[in-house]
Amino acid sequence: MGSRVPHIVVIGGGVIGTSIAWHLAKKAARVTLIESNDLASGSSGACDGLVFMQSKKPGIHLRLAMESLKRFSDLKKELPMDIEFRQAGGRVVIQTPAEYQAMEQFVQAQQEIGLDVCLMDAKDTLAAEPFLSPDIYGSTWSPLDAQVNPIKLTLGFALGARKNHACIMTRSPVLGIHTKNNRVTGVVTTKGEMAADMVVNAAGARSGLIAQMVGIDLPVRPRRGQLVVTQATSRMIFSCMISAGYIAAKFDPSLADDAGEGMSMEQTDNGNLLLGSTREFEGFCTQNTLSGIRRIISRTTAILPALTRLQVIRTFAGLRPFTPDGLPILGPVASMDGFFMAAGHEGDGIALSPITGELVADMILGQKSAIPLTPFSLERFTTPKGQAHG
Amino acid sequence: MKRAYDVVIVGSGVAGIAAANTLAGHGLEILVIDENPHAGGQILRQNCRVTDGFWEFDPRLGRSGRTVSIRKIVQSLRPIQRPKGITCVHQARVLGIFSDLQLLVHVPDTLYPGGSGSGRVLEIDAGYLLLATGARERCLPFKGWTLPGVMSLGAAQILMKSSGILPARKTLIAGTSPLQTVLALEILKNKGNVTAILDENHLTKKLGLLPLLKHHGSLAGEGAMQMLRLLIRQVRFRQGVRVTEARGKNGLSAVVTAGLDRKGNTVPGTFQTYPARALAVGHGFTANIELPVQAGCALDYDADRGGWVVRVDDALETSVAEVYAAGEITGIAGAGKSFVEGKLAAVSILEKLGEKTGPDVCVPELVRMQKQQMGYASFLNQLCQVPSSAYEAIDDEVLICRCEEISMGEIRKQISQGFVTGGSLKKATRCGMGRCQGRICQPLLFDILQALTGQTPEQIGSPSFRAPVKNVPLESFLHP
Repeated sequence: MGSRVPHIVVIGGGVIGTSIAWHLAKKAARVTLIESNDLASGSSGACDGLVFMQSKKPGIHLRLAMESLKRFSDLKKELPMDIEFRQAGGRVVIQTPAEYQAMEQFVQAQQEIGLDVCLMDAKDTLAAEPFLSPDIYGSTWSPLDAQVNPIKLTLGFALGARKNHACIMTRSPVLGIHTKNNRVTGVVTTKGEMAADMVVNAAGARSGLIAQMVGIDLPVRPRRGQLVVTQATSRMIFSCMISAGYIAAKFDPSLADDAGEGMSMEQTDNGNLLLGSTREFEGFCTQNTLSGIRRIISRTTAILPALTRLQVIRTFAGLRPFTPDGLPILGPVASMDGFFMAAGHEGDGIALSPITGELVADMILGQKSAIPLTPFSLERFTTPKGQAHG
Repeated sequence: MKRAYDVVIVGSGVAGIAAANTLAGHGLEILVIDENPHAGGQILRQNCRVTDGFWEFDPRLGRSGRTVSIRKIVQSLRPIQRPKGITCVHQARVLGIFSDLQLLVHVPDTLYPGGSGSGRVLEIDAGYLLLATGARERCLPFKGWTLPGVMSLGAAQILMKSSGILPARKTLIAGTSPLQTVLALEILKNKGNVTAILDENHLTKKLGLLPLLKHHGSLAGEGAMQMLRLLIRQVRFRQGVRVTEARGKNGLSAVVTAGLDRKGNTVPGTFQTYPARALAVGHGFTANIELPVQAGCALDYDADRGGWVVRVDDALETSVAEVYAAGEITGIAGAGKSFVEGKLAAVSILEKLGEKTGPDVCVPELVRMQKQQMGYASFLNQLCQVPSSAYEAIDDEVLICRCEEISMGEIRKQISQGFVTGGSLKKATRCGMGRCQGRICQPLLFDILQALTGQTPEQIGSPSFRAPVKNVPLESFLHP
């Protein structure tokens, strides 16, 4: 590499960008993180904090998630901010016999590859979560599932990166990327130009706009998710939950006909309940809608009737970076030297941020990585032999 | 209640009533929404008790072209039969404004008997929207400001006006606000006692601001009369002192003050202790901009108008088409400006609708009066202004965000870590993420950031609010 230390510019101050910056900075790389607004001002500040294993499809997706999970307990100690990581287990709530059947198969596949998950009937479920509606049909339970505060995680990565001498520029929208002979050479922001040997696109739902600056089309689309926040209250749910309809909506739209988008519930350390979520293609609009709020509330109260006594204090909406096969796009891009992708995690960005940061940093620094990145390359969408995942 | 109206007015204070009066009689369907049990807002709280009819200002009010004083506004208010086409909903809250002026409104069960007890959330379509959401008080935090017995000046007034209760047998009054004298007179009228008025402003500062009142002789006169009446009643007056601590175990028992130099810094060795069961304190006002911000209206920062206010054009239209703003949310300047703006916004809407506004309405004259009334804002807000050294001096243990219990020390720590914009500091501390949604701490956090970092308002950034702008029971969403 010669005597000059290459300059790596990471675009995006969300959980993925800050994780990459932290991992790079820890290894003494010269790194600058550029964020157009404030840290965690996009989807990382408008999402829930589920670190769910059960919702991942068995295969490379689940493997990635499991590796990521392992790293959270170290992060809790290493990052200079309390990330409120809590591994209290997670539950997929089953509301109909049809869902029960579908989940039986899903759980079996998960158990076969060694995921610690089990199916529970209504009685056992209610014993563990007494506030749930007696009308539920059962649940699946995994002690591995966890939750984290996504904002604190992002800020923690950023502060940690800065402690390791990364430069963090907020309120600096990227205006363009300089290239020469198909190689990135610099980045232009509203605050001026800087030379760059490598550029990492970690702009989440907006990564498509960054890629366009170097003439690359990304299949990433913003998929809006609305959330409803209640007042803080004493513990009402003991683990985080999603509905079986959520898994269906994620993997098998045909199963989701009745359940629609499914729901997610999480009670934060602070006591607020985060109720979600919708899956909508509405461009970059982050407004909430009355129908979205009503859908979330009717679905969550059907499962947790005690919610009706609480006050809604806030709603918000984030944009998931959706990809056609539900997997992120990670690694180099064939058509542009020095340009790397780290985006498209859909709803898994928070859960996958530790492993994403590590893998991308290792790859950029030419080190051996824990998981090969080939299945996540952008070229899987273009080359004919690249088989879409699942 | 219908699901669509030609004009929806949010807030039935002085501006809201003046607007409704002007809009009535044109065959329009008008909805007035207010969260209080009665119309009147803060100023006319006591004058608008009857709920069945409606209220009208004497049409001659403000026609002379002279400034409109609070006294004249109160005197010219009279009850009338509810005009045709006007619907009033009380104890209802607009939670959010969505595209095509669709409003999310929480209404009480009294409108829909047989409900769950939590009310219900409705969608209302508005042709035009007039936001007249008023202002609230602000207060410089000090040690013990969360103790029972410490309240805002306005809260003490509401206690007396709405519930007929005195804050205590003896009340100590403090701060920078002109409400201090108003409250003192109200307490005396209700046969209570005022221990003392502890005004932070030196006489020299007040005299220095007098030129700003050159077009507002009547307001200056009103203020002087109030002072005179208090002096006759032998109320103790101290100027140039600030409350630095409220003491007490389960409630307030004593208040500590310090003398101030000309720049507003506390002078060592000037501490004094007052026994007190009630302390009413206020440092001016902040506009209720939650709803316009949620709706996407652009803001301006102007310290002379009370901080972040809604940006409007001469016709009082905001940056969002068909959304108008009137009263304190365009600049804190008291009831006179609210009256003129309510009228002006209504006339602007009528003109947009192609309605004739009658020979007695002269738009250029209203615009001129509006500008004249805005002149009072500079006096009022400079009078209430607290020097930045006062924010720098807040003790680390003082709670800034009451809902999330975030202390000044935590805020200092996160500012030093580099979280120096309003948005990032909120994320790093949770300050403003609690149940009141930052109504108390957000303006404070802004002033603290300005004082501690020396940044411009634009660098710190304007606040953001999302629906529901006020808490609402989850259950109320379950009934379509």
